[in-house]
Amino acid sequence: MGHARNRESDGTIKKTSMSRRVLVVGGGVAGIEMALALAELRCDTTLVEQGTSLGGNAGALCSLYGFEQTPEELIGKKVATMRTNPGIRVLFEAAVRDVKGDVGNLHVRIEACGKVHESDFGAIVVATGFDLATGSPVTSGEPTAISCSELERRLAQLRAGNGRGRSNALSVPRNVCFVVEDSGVDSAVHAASALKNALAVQKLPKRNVFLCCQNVNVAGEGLEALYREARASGVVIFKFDGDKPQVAAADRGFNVTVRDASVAANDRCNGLMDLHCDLLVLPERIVPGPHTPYLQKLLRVDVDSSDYFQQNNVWLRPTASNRKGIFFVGGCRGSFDVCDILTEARATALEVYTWIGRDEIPVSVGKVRVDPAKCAVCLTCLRSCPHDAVEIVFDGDIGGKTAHIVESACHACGICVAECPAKAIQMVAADDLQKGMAIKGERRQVEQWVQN
Amino acid sequence: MGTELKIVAFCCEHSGSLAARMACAGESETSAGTEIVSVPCSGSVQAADILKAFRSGADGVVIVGCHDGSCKHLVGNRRVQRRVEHLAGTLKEIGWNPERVAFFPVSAVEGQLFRDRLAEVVDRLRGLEAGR
Repeated sequence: MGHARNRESDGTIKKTSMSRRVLVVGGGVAGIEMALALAELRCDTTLVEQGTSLGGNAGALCSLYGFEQTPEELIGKKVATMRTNPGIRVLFEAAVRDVKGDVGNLHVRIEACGKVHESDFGAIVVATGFDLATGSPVTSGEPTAISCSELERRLAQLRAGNGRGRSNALSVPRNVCFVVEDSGVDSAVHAASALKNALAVQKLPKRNVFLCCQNVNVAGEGLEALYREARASGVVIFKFDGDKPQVAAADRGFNVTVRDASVAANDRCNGLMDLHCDLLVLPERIVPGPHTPYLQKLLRVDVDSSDYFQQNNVWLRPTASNRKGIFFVGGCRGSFDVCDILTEARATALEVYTWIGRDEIPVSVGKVRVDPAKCAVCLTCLRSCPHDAVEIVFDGDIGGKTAHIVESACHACGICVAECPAKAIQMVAADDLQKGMAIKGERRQVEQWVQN
Repeated sequence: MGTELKIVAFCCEHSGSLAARMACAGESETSAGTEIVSVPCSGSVQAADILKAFRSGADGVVIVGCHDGSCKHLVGNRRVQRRVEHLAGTLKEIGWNPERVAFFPVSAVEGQLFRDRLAEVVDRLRGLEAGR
């Protein structure tokens, strides 16, 4: 059974030229992989990075779970491939300042190292990543808790110094306790980071590692195995429910009091555990990138309820935005691990290619028409269009401004038609006659049900 | 019941319309008296369309859209719900029962839900007819 209406044939078809160049915003692991994948598809790519080096959050880590290589090797190899590819241009210390136009013809102004570059792109891929927020220190004054990133730095130093010497014993002391609080739904990366580091510390000689958490989220490839390995090698994991662990500064370290839920349930005791540790590690919280609100406004796209990019909508998953030609990849959509991000970037490159891979794409015109004489430029359509396909232009015939539907961006949903207070917008395909195409019972009936 | 009620159902072509087709498959009686009108998005149904359906003799009008977070056009289902609430208020002001117009969400595979929700609407309207 076909659709009651075949919208593709509505209106006439026009060829619209598409720029094959792609702008990738963000030089983290998602942006790098995206640029490489697009270059393989022979799309010229410009990568915009705010800092002076590539790699992002993943580049700052000293090891990655599930990879043989260190992040430095993994990213270094990719960056070297990028350098040799003439199709990839990288702009450092750069920011996107202005975006005009729609899919296929996005005119972008980029400021890089004080210079302004203006160019046209077919599509924009946002790969700005997530941000790490250090939890508030549990105790004031010395000694203070450290974050997972700080621990990774110390572990990297240990490795570089072959794990000998007095300073090493001080940087990662004998008893280390991780307290993972506030493990929300998106905490697979959170859990992986805590488990990975707990295991790394446990593997050092004569170390005791405790991990207090509410929930170990192992919803990721290899995380269950990592959890088992951590337990098997001696990491002691306490699971608390509701009441958070109490942390107090003590002589040369911390006293952590945690109520283990399963012990309390089985042994008819209160399940309270008193731990003494020399070092307290609090994993950072993963939060939306700092540039999300700025880019959201600039690109006129939506964010979800947690302020990450991409509205919660099944049609947009995994990487599309509410606007054609604008995509989100990687950590800017939430907390994802490197493995997922690499796969996602490859898949998104193909999706970008389906839009801009050809020099011209057919666009049906005249599906939705604005009558400039009726348009009061009240901006209702501009505000109500979910796909940002309405622009205000000057119309020579009426000598004034009027709303105009950008055909390449329009999905012909008819929301603006319904919202327009002046009824200045008409949908050719869904006018009253077409609405008469109805299915009734098993038979499809085409009849004019509204007798005007 | 003696006379058959005429219901016009404006269905989103991504959800309601497909669910309707599923509900109708094999059982033409269920949907007797119900006219399915496929629209590109439930958000494209205007108050005027609903009123025109009443003028053409409909006893009730239902708008069938997508579940929250599943609208192809992101906000269409929420917009039409607001519009329906507003129109129900207007109908009440002119002395009609506001229950004559309703919105309900289904997904493309929920043929049974579509049938159940439609049956509820028909029952409610039968009640209205009887009470008149």
